[in-house]
Amino acid sequence: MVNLVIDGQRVDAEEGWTILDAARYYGVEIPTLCHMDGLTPYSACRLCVVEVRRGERSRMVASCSCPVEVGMEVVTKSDRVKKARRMIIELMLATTPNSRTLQCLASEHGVTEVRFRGEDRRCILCGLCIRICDQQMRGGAIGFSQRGVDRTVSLPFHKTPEACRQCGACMYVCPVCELPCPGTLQPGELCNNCLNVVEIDAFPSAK
Amino acid sequence: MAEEQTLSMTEFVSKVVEDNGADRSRLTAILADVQQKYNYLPEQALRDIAEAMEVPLVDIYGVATFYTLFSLVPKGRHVVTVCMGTACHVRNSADLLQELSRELGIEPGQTSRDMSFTLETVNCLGACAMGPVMVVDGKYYGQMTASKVKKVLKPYRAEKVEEEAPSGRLVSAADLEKHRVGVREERYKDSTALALCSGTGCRAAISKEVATALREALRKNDLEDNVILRETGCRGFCERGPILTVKPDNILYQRVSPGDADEIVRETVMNGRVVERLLFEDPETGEKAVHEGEVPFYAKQLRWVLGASAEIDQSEIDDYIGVGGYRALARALFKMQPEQVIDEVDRAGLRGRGGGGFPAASKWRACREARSSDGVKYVLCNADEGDPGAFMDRCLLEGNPHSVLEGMVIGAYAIGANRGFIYVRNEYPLAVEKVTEAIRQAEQKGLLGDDILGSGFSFQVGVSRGGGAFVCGESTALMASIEGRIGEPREKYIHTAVRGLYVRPTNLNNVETWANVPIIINEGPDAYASVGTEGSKGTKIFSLVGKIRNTGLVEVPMGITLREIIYDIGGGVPNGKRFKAVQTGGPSGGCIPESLIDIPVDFDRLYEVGSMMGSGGMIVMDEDTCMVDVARYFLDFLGDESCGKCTPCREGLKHMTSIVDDVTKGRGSKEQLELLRELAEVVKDTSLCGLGQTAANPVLSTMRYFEEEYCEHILEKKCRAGVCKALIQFQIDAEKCTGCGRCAVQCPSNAISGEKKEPHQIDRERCEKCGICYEVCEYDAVVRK
Repeated sequence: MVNLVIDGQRVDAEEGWTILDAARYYGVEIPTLCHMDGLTPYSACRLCVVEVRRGERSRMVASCSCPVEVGMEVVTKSDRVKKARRMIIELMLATTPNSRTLQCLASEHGVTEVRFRGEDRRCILCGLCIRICDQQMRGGAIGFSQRGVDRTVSLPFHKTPEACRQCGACMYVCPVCELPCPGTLQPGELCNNCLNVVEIDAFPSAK
Repeated sequence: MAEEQTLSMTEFVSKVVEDNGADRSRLTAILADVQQKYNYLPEQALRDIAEAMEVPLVDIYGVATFYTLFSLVPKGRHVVTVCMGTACHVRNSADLLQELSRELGIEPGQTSRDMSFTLETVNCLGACAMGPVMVVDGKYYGQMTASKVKKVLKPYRAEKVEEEAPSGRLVSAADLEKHRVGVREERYKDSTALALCSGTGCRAAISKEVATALREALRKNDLEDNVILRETGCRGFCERGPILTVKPDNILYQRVSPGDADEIVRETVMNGRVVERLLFEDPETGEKAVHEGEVPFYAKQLRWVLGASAEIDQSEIDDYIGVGGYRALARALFKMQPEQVIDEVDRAGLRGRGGGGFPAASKWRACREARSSDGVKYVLCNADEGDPGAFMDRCLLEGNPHSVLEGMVIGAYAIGANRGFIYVRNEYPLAVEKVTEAIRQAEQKGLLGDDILGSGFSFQVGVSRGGGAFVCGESTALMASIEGRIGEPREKYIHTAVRGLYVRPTNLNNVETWANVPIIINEGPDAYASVGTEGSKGTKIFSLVGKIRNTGLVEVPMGITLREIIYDIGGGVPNGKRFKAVQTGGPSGGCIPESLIDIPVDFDRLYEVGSMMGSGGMIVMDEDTCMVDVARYFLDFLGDESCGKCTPCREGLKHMTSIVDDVTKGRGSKEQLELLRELAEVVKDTSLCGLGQTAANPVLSTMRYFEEEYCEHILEKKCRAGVCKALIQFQIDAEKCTGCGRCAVQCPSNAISGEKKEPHQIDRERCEKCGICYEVCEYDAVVRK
């Protein structure tokens, strides 16, 4: 058993668990986009960053791949973490406005503007499709090509290879396949509808 | 060869796969071989490779598109490559590229329609001392300017280009000593020997031709058997190359040309007289220096690591043995326990020279203690010297590869590793050649391979070629690349010392670190630690480039001040310009302003002022360098080299570049600067690997020390250095213009007009601001505002 602290709570975790495993086990929510149980951790979206403090020192780690350690003090919602998450969501929305998952995350984390020049690339390069194709479907049909800003998920030579059985698993796991509630949005546009909900006092007499 | 011509593509591919071995770690080598044959990677060839290696096609496609080395479209007969390294950038490589692009009618990355030229850029060729540099079909052209482009391309257009041509086993320590005595007897007698620098810098400055002329002169005088001519590795003083020293008196000649060969042999070799005109002359005092130590460039240096390069021929293992090589290895193997070796390295205080400055002994110990499932552990040498402006690792590998190998074997013995790789950038063909040759020689001599020196210890080492990806200098990306995968870093929560290459415990150090190991074992840890500062021991090699009089490689004791390096060794800023800043640590480092020039150079001090040691690039900038442009340059570089895996690095760099780009074009705002700062902090905080975590440094450090320059660009729409094209104008001063017409002839866009002997004018509409007029005017009549 590994004894650690998550958001001020002393908890016991199994040896070999990641911080994300432990947090979820104890009901602490950490948002993720590139993580899925059953696939290898990829630590690319960086949305799951948390702060790990040890005495005076503090560092940011990706909770989906960082193993728990004895005496670790994890903070999942510090100002530093919140600021980072908001920026990451904003960066992703600048290139991928038409994802319901992302638009909901924006509302949840209070992202109300996109300050970067955008373009609709329709992909956040989380790599879930590639990993599920390879690791669960034993397909190996799609992969990353190019690098840096030019990186894309692609088929070799843009042709469907024999290895693809058209099982559709890639679409099933994709976090940007579903349109946001208001329909198609332009880069820079935000849904934020959930932020405009007026609270209705359903039980006035209970006061 | 004729036989290969008749092979079909599928047959050729299967032969290449067979020759290399179908192992995944050979993938980049296989792709390189196939590309060499067809000039690019045809789709069918990739399909054949996938089949022959039984690897999914998409994986091969991913690797082929990840590394810049590979091309999926055919290339031209001549490949023109322009270096985009920092040193070249501050010396105006952008103008050079623009001119080439105009002259060839193609953009970078494109091939001309008649398939004659392909124009490419590369993020540093490591020939920084001669910047700006361009390479045509492997031939280097240094100190290029936009106005020289036509002349250089001419012979390639005419298709007439001269092609440049490119013992027994030792079984015990006693055997090695005996061999050493023999070598000294034969090659290090007190008689005359010539040591000619043949590093890449001097090669560009025709050292090959000088060597041929010297050999010929020796032969004419019947001296070829008595006088040894050594073609040594880089001697550092690239500015004055080719450099020649005459032993035993150590007379130093500079800028030697083939025509000087006869005189050198006749006067110095035969009659012991000094050829005055080839001596170094101090530009300040006019004093001539006869010996190396009298040249100010060398006087303040402490050349522990580089020193031996001057004594040995690049390709001779016997020379290395002759000057005491492999003695440290024998001592470690026969007189020391592995733990003792680690303790000595620990006491010496050796820190990694590749960038981070992590204590080497701690890594070694962790790797020694780590358990491996099948007992296999790896020792790697990082020679993926990607930092633009740094080339010390290239020089070490080219000039003294055995010192690196010896360090690696000692390290492997201390760690208990039996296998290793040297990961060399593909942009360093000479280094690949020299180190491969050195491995072969060392194996023949029994200094590498099975049962080294009869000790029972075995260590196999191979060379792995990179594919043109800066990120592969990061340890986990480097390991992925050796394994034949996309060079993508992974999280290091479990250290590579425990789980590295092929999931085995792995220790990685860089070239210079390994070359320091034999010195520690030979001299003892206390002597080693007597040089340096509290936290940084020994020496450090820097490549001193950019706007500095004496460019080249310098090795100095830790703790020397920046001022001593720049002014005493480097000779200060040339052309009467004012020093502005020095950039250290490569793209991860920062710019240090003039006010901090007296700080001592060590790992911790550089970090404190917002920069870092890095691998040792030191790029000097003068008043003509725009700091906003420098920040944009590094962001561009990193955006190009980011692997694209994690969001903050990939997207963050893109937007940081776009904001800074706006500033250089006069479109920036104060709010954007705040956004830039906010974004920079998040990129630093949340990126996956070292590349992203330090990617904001060039922005943060220039904003910290040169904020007024940013403000000037934004508020006054002014670039004080005259670099940002959108903010400058070229004008002709009518009073100074003599009407010689030189600028009008050279102007590529016909923007200059005027009568002969009358003042000329520049048409602002047509002017492309290439700066050729500014460069060619002899009367300073062209002004840049």
